[in-house]
Amino acid sequence: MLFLSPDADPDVEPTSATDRQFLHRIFPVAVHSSVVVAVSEPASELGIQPGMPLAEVRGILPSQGQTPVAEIRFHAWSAAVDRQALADLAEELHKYAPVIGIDDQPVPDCLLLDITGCGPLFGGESSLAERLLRHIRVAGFHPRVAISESVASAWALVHTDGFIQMLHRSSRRQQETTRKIEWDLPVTIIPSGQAYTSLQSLPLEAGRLSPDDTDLLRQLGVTTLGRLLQLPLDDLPSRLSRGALSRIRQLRGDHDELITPLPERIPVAAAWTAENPVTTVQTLRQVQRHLCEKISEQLSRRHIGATRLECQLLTETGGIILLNTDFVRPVQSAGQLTELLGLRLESVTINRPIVKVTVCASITPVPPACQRDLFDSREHLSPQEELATLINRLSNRLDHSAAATVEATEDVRPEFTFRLRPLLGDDGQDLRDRIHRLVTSETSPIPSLCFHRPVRLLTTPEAVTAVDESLLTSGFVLRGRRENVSGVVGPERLQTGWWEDVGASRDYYRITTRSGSRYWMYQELRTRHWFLHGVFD
Amino acid sequence: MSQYVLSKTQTIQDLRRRLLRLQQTQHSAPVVETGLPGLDHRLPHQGISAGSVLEFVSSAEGASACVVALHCIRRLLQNPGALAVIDTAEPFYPAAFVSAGISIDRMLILRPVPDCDHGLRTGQTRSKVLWVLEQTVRCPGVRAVLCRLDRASTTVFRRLQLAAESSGVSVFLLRSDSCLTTASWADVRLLFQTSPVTLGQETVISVQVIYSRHATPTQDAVQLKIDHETGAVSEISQLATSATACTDNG
Repeated sequence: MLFLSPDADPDVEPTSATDRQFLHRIFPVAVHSSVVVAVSEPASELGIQPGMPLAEVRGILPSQGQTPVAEIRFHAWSAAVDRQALADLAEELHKYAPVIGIDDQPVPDCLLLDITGCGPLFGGESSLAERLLRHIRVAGFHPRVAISESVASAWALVHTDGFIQMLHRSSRRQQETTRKIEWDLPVTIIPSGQAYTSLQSLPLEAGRLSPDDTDLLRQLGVTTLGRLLQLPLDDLPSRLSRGALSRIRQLRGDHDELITPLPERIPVAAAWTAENPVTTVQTLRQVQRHLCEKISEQLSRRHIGATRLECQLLTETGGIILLNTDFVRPVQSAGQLTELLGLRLESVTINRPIVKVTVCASITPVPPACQRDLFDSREHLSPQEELATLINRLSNRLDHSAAATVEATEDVRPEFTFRLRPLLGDDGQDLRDRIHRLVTSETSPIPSLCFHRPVRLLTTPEAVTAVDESLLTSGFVLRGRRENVSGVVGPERLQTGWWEDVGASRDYYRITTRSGSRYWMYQELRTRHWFLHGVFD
Repeated sequence: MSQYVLSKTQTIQDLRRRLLRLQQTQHSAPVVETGLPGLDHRLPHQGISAGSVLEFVSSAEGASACVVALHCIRRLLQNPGALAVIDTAEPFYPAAFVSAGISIDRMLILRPVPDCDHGLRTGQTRSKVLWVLEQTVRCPGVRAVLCRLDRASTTVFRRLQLAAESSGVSVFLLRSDSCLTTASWADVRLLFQTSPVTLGQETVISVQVIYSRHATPTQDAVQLKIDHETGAVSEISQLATSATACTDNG
């Protein structure tokens, strides 16, 4: 029996705050007292259930005369220990799948295996599942296995009681196999193209949404994944969290969900040692190409891609020059790796002879759509992949902040209303969503109804001198040139809250001059000074 | 002698017409209308064709050339692909894109030089901008590119033109009137002139196609108005000429 204690020492029992919050949502009692998290079969037979306070359980046990209490032992629960046990198990399972990751849920109980192309090695996917299941049982676990085309549907199936029911919905070709397995082993295989259908009757909790989102949806009467997936996606952003929207897209099959692999014991790396120190960039480029080919070969063999290359150039004097290259999407091709590393090489000055070059890759599985055509590396690339290649190229040649997307903030001051968010350095699903939105998000067929804003915003507002008392009627002097005003629209007051340390209180005007130029100017209400802030170029 | 000159001029014009006819028949790139019929009528393929380079030349500061460019880009973005905005000396203000109806999710901001070194001060900085511009134009994941560009060699422009043609990316170059003295490698060069006249809450601008690679540019300009409040761009209805009116009335 595992229990969670509210006052556990974090050094002894390293459970993260996220894990605790999650468990406290499920077992509110755990905030104040120790609570049972998991029970063994003998404990369950005695009526002990997860969620019961530990004190109550201890009170029950002595009264059960017929059951030896010695069979029931208490252990403090720790998510970190669970993760480590799963990681140890994953090491044994690499013969079934090249890429294995651990479930990213707060309380992990699941291993994710990418078995793409592995089925034939075991005589089919059902045979693979059966062998996998027996292997895990021998290791001391009680597993369930689901094979599906998406992580979301496989996770949903193994975590619900609908698991067995789904077997009867398989295609006729698969039915016989799965039925046979049904009686022996808890395995389900969803044929390709039927993952979406298989989710319809599963409860909402199988969707891996946060407890807040799940509660809200239940209040709205959405109790199954089928009903959740019927909701129009356009209406959801205002009600659900971004994480929930991402999960829904994964369940619908709109977005791929990549498995983050556990660190490999054997890293993807290549090294080259010079007989004679290298002094020219051309030679270094050739060395880089050679090493990138080796890296690409390793990546290809393991069905993984690189998200980062760390290249070390060791100089004759013992100094190290680091060339780190990041990629927004996993890269496997030797050509791309060489090109991007070459761009980094252009940005540094090599002024000492190089005696050794090492390249090490950080890895992740390659999404299926990213696989290149056999004969032409430029064919069959989606716009997202084209864009990712461009971002890789620009960010590594120039600067990590060279390619960015825009995010709106809540600040009313125009200079802070938007901020740039670099694409490189961000990883995971969020990055993929941002690149996806760059290509496909909807643009209004008609102009927005918000106020007209200048195309060019001056980094520093430029002081303007009024000719007379009123700038709006008499005109102004800008950069030594007098401008007469022919049209004014405004004022539009932009004011920060009184609680802001550096507040702003401005009246903005859109001003047309006699020469036909259009400016966005403001008067600072405290000082009554005028400034040019933008130009309608 | 004058007869000889005349026939020479006629021959050149005739050759030019035949060349344009050939180019028009070869044109197969998709065309997107700008939503401004008068402007579409003056553009070579009755709209903005994919893979074209367009120069928006402002006669003065604040002449609203970019406002009209955003209006056209919004129509292009009805199709998939990102809008790459290359920030050079002065950054573009995303709020202008939002008011033009462009989602900020579609904006890919590219900054060839970091904040501390902004401005086209050195040749190295300019070459970075041109490199980014060319790389971006070569990317089929991009639908349109918006960039301010004051000076560039003919080699650069030719490379840009070829890159746009191969990728199908539409390139919007914002230029000042100092470029008018140089030859254009763009498909279309538009000159924007502001008018001090305002129609209530609206500014009037005239747009003239002063160079077109695929057609003979017309001399007349199209009058556009921009709403001060919303930034909406629309065309000012042209009154029929008196001669036409007389004909219509019989």
